[in-house]
Amino acid sequence: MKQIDVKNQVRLSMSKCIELVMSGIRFRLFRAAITVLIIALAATFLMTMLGESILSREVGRVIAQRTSPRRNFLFWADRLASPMGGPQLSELLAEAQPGGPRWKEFLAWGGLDEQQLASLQALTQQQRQYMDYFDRLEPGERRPLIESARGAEIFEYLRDEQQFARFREELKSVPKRLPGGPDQFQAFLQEWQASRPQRQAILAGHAAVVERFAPQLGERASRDVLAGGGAELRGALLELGYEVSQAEFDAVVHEARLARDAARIAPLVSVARFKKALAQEAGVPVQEADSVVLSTRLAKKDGPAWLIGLVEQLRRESAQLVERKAQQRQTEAEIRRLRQTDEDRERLAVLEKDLVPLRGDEENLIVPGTRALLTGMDLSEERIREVAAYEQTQRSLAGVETKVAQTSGMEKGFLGFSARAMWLLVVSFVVCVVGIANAMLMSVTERFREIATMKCLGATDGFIMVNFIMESIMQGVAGGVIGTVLGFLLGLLRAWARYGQIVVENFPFAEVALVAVLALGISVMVSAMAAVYPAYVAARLAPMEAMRIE
Amino acid sequence: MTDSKTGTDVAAEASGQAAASGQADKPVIIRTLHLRKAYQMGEVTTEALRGVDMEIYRGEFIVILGPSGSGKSTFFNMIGGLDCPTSGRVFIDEVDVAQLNAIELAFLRCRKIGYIFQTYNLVQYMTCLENVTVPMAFAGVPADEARDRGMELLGLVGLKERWFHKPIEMSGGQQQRTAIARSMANLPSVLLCDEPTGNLDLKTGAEIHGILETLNKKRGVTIICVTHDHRLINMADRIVWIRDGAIERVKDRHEVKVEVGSIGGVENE
Repeated sequence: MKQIDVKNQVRLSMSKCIELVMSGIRFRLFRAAITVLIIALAATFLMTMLGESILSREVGRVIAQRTSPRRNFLFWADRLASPMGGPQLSELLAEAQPGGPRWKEFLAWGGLDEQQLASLQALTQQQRQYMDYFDRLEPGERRPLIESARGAEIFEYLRDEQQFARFREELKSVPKRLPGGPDQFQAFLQEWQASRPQRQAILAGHAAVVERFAPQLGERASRDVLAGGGAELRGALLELGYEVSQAEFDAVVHEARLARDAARIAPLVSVARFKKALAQEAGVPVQEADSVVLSTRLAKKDGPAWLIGLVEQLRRESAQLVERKAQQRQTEAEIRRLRQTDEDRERLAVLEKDLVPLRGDEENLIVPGTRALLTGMDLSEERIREVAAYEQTQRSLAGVETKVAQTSGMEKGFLGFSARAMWLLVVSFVVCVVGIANAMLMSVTERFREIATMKCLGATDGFIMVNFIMESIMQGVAGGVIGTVLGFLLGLLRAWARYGQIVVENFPFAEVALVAVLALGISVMVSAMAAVYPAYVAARLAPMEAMRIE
Repeated sequence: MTDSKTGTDVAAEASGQAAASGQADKPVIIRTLHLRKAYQMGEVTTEALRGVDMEIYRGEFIVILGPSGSGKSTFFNMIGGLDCPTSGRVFIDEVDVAQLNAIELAFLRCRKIGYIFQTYNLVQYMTCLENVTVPMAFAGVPADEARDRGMELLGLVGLKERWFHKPIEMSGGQQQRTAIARSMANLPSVLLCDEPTGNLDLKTGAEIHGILETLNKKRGVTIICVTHDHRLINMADRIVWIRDGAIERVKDRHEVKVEVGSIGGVENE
């Protein structure tokens, strides 16, 4: 028998294949458009969710960064005035950098050596891990294990042999695995107990430091002491064992001053007359005139001048009222005297008629607290502007932060999605696969004769297969691009609506680009996968089908 | 491919019949040996072909006749390399079709055989010229050469001026002429026609006859035709009757007198 040399049976070049597929798609534009639409929908969905989750995360990061100076100030204000508690120590120690400031502080206060502190830190990190585990348990799972114990109580509760034995037994029916298993946990409990004196030493060390600093504080709030700043203060802190670099100290002092000055403005709204004037100025009901309304008013160009003017006026009024009050006291004394002596009734009647007691808001204006507030507000116009702007930024950041916390609370797990979102995504892609596969199958059945003819003309099974998969991939690319762009815009819009300008100001280009490529890749892959079966059907088609006459 | 018997050895066993008819000296292009084909339909096995031995010579014009269900379509598919026999052998240009794999079959269909269908089967979204050059693309002919050859073939069927038309813009006759040009794309040695004029009126059918006759007589292309068109039958060198999956008789044209409306009579002879 003669041999056939098939080497010459060429594979069509990629460009020729693409050309053929393109003309095929153009011929069946409507169906192709529907397939593209299906893919585009799924890609939009995916991209919206991915984009939104990335933007949320980015916003969270930016906010954490922007609010960190204030948080750091609050941290310092707190630790100067009150001794550290056990949970706070655990938190700080678990995250402390060896050799870092907190590390050195703990070494100094606890009288420990490096190695002891390192092993204590390892234990603390373990402890956090176990705490996380117990936090993640459902109430129904918790109760048999540890009753109603919370936080450090858990470790206390489980020290009891009998209770631990019960814990070990109950643990078997809990699906969530205890990290390291019960044996390791028991070992940890003992070590944790043994490390107690060391932790106590650090806490006691800090308590002593707070004690020593107390005279410097006196009656003042630690905020005001920090706002005072100065090399002397820093020297005192360093001497007490606190680790604070010049830069950090300056930043803390800066924050403290802002906080102090803000505290000179905001409480003014508690003064009845001030509140009333503010309400009139802002055009809101009196009970709604709060510090938010005040800072809005201050943000206006003439805000600081208005505030200074108003405070000035109230001070004057207050002074006048004080005088009036004094006169009134005299008059009252006179009336009392006249009544007792029962002479000069005419004069008594005149005095009684003229005596007008102070109204509530007027009384309020002369109490010492109010007078202190009014005299305390001695800021310059420039400073008021600065403080008001700062407060407003912090307030809006805090507002966005709450929203981020709400959102990111739901978006844990794979790729930052909740199980629910993941489920929705998977379902949407399954629907997409079915839709594409159906469209491609229809495309194959309606082209039976064309495919068979092609095979008669020398097309190999492989060519037919590639042809159909390529058609689907092209639709996948088109749908993917449309969907990714749409989804990105939608995600951006949603994030923008939720968080505002901050999203646009801090746009994570690289991450969004990466996610867009991912979304596009997934859509193309899904459409290629969906086309495998229809393409297989097409490739298996017998060339005789070309002879069939419908 | 390890079969020890070569095609010619096997063919020699059954060549007695051909030798008797005095045509042994002509080169054989298609040969079938004890060709059987059975279709499994549910529990019933239908035998479409029950042992067909046939030789077709190079340059012949063969017409296959037979009532529907006679197995003539099956036979036609077998010798066109479109279907595999249950048993027996088909040699096309001395190549055993049953032993070819999918790619080799594609190679064979691409270069050795041209197909013409009753329904033309042009690719709807391609122009006339693109349709003609599709088989050339599969054969790896460079684009420029394919275009030139395509235009030449379109000239042969008289459609040179309409090369840019899509099938939907052409009449049935023009479409079938395009299909003929396409079937000739890689200069096959055999042309298989399945009712080529079945969907055409008498006048346009005549154009097709003319082209087929030219290809057969001037270019020496072997043409195998399933048809009921008496004028095509009139052009045939040999006429093959198939009935109940077997060849009923084979006659040279000059032995048969074909006239309008009398084919039935011929069959009833």
